[in-house]
Amino acid sequence: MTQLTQEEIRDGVLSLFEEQEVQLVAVATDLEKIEEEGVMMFEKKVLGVKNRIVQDPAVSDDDLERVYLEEVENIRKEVLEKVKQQIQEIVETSTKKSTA
Amino acid sequence: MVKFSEIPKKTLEAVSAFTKEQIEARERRLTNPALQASLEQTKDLLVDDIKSAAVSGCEALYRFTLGAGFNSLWEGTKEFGTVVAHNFSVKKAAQKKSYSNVPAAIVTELLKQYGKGAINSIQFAGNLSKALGKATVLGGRYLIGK
Repeated sequence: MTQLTQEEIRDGVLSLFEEQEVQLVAVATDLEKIEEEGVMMFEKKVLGVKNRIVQDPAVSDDDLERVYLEEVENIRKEVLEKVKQQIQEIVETSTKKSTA
Repeated sequence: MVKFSEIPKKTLEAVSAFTKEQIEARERRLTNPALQASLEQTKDLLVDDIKSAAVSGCEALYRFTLGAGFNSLWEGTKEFGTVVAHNFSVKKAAQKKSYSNVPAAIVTELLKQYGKGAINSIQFAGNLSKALGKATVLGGRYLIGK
């Protein structure tokens, strides 16, 4: 079996990346955007929950912190699930493009 | 039932002020340092989990788009490891082969392992895809440039 030289391997690696570069960079950019949006969504929802429970007479003063933390934890899980789903969709779309 | 218009203005103002104070007091309860620290911790956990999910997604894509190509490229290069090992056994920096392009540090590091027989060509391809996936997400930008 023919052995590849170091240069040939390096050039092969480069050309492989160059073929896919546009798509990979686009996906990386999309992922960054999703990351940022996920954190913003979390912060927005946390603020909303805070405003809601401080005015909610059903939540007693003593329960305020506990309820707040519980709701924040639920928001964290909810946002994470949504972000994961978005990432999965991007990966699936990109792999479909690659095979098309 | 009492009509709103029948309630004295001062009573309304007093009730309004009391309610406002109550809400402000409740808001203050939610700004205590321990609670804030806990919230920050939850946010940090989310950020870490999101980053981890993004890296995994990127890795999956890299494996899909580049994995086969790498495996093909590295097929039949088993003997190459000894050459690479020799290159990396040279102590003087000037005598070492430098990789001026590709994510150089990653490739160099992987070639070192490959040369030492610590990983095989398939693992090399997988690790390179994984490392570049992480580099792309975390580092933000691609490193290729001739």
